[in-house]
Amino acid sequence: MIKFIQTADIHLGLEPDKGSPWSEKRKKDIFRSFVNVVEQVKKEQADLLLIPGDLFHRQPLKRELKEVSSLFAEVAPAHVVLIAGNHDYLHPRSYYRNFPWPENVHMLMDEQLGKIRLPDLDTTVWGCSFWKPEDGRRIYRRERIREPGLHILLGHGGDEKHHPFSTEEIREAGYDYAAFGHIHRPGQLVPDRIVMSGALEPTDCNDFGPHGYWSGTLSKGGCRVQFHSVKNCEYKKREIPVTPKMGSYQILEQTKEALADREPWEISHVIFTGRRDSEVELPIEEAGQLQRVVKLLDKTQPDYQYDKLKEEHKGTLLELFIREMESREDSRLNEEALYYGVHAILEAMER
Amino acid sequence: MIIKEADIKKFGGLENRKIQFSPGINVIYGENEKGKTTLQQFLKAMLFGMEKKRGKMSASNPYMKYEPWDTPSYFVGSLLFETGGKEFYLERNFYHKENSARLVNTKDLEELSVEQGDLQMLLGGVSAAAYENTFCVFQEQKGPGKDLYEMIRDEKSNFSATGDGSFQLSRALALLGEEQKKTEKKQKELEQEREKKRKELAVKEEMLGEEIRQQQGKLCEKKAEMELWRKNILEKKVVLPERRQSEDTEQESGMLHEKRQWNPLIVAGIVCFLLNHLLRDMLKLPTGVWFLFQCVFALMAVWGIVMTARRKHGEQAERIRKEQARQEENRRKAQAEAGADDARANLQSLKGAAAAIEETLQEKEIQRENIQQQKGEYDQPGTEEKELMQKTEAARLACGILGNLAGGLRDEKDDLLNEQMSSILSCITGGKYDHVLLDEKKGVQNVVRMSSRNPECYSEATMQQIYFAFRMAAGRMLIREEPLPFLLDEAFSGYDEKRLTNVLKWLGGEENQILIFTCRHLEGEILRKEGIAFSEIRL
Repeated sequence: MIKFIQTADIHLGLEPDKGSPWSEKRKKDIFRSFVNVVEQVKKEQADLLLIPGDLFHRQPLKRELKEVSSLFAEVAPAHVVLIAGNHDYLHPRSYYRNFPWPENVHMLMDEQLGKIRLPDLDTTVWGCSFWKPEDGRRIYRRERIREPGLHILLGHGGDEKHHPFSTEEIREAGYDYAAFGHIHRPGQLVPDRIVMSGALEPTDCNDFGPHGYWSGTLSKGGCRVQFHSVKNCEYKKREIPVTPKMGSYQILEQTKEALADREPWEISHVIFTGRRDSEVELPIEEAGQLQRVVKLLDKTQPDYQYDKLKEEHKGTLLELFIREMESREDSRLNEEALYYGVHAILEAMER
Repeated sequence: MIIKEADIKKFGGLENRKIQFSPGINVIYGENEKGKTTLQQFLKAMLFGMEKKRGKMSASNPYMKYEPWDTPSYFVGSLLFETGGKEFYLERNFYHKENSARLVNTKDLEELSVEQGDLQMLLGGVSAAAYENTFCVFQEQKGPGKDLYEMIRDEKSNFSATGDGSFQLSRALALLGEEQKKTEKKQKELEQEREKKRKELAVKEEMLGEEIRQQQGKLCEKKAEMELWRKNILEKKVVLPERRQSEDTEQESGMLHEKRQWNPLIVAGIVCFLLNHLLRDMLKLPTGVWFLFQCVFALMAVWGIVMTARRKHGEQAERIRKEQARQEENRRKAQAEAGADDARANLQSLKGAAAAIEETLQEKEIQRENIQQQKGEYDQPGTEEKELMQKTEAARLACGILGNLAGGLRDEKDDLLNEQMSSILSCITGGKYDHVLLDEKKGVQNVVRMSSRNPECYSEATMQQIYFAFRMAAGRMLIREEPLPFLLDEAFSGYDEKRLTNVLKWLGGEENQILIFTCRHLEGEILRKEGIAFSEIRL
């Protein structure tokens, strides 16, 4: 039985939410979290650290590689197996290409599916690296493995432009376990069998939900995996229900209240929903200045009841305009145009 | 609206008269000076008020015309009318110093306020001018006033929305334009910010590019230098072994030379000198000959010795020279070897330097590529910017659609007005004229066989008929909320019987209350003949 730890899409070197006050901290947090995961290998006496791609956000610099290399050296005799993802792909001048890794580190650099045999673990790790940022080949489809020992696949991708695959393909190939990277939301595609690592930390403000790394045990008898969440940062959506009775000040107060009980690691998207008085301007700017708010979204509908307006203003330009806009396809653009038009018409009526 | 009863206390020649009206057609018959026009003016004044005007115009002012001569302050009347299923009592004092009006709901006796616009509201917001130019036809008037054209133009470009106010298209469009500008400005700001970041990165990229170029230059230099040293070493390596070989052969030849140093002359001379003794003894040569031979042989030996000595001396010099040359060569060789070592060392250090440069170069190139990638991320607008762009687009779209719809509506109104005028005129003239249109510049035009003419081109009666059609159609357009009564004072005086019949028939089909003021019995007779219900009022 072997013990492994799996983490992908660490995106070292990335500064998330560039321009925000927490950007620098997040960059450091990402590195810190990665160090923690590597240290975890030693603590748990794991045999294997699997990194299925995108360890770096861009082409790694030499000193960056030296940094992680020395980290990896620390966990010997545990093996570290990694591949290059679409972000840190093997550029012709990439330092990956001839970096002298320590003995316990194995990078599967082939563009075709290759393997590395780890005799001490009686395990073969399969995988390949990206040589360009996009690669739509179905690279993981293959005939069934018949060789003895444990077989692990390190894969990166899952969408059309990045090594697409289906769980059936992976299953049929006969891997004992497949560790994937690329999609940032962690999840077990096939329980205890095919696991999308998910980003170690959210890298983009749209990476909602928990993030972290996986640990597991693998033997011919099967595999068991477990998710460990890392709580340095979590993006969450906060809906602020607005009613036509609320003024700008009240809406802001409501927002503050909703954000008061947040976990310290939360960074919020504030989404205004419901109906607002058409005269009231949402406190977008003020709410944007609240702490740890990364995005503001106005999903409120101005409190126009179009059906009622049509009835009240029968035979007028207003009715005509509403009808015209409603006959158009349902799109955000038309919806907004309807609102602007109605607002302007009503404004232009002398009362 | 239906006027039920007029109670005239004092208004022009009319005094203490109560007149009841019916819904539908009322023919008010009266001989000249019976007060038909006065009654019409009274009704209009009751509905819309009447003010004493000052100045030049005051002479033609109805106030002056109908002001009671004897009791100017008793200038009073009242009206009973029904609208929206409710009956109202309206009382006015026209006397300019006590101008007052009272409006009461007769059922619950609720007092309404004329000042506050309650009456105006009951009249559907219609202005006196609009009424006078349409449904209220005065005897002396030919065509409607210029006001009507303006009112129609306004009406066409304004889109009365609720009846409780007028809507100005231009204002709505301006508001949308402002909105567009506002969002566009915000978006431009974001774009500029993005552009700034992009430029910052471009500068970094440029700097890295420059550094890369410098490093490449340095690398080239180092490589050229290396090439030079390499050549140098190569040259020395080729030259040294050759020298050594030629030296070896020289040494060998020197050895051979050493062996052959005995001159044969000396040997021959000495041998012959000794042999000569033997020959003298054996051959018993004469002493003279022997001596001669002996001398020759001695000379040969001496010559040989001299020659040998001379050569030996030369050889010695040569040997010294060669030795010197060899030493020189050795020195040079040692020097060259030392030089080659230096060159090798130099080459080595150059190689190291070049490798270091290459490494920095690679590092910088990777950095540059990362920056290029990062820069590329700023090429496309962010979500916030896109949202603003959409907002701008939405405002623009709304503006366009609103403009188009309004244009369409305007055309529709034009069409409707022309259609109605045409149909009324066609009705009156028995289909002779069936195409009237309102031209923006020329005013009302009667179209016959594709050419349009002014109403003035026709007979007095036809002209009146064209204008009548225009007034009624315009009235329908301007007076929509509340069907106000038609007040027609001798409006058909020029009509022949046929056309009078036609117009009365047309009036019979209208929902409004109709008051026809006339001095003839003809109208009544025709109505009776045509079986159209009407009430007759005699003044």
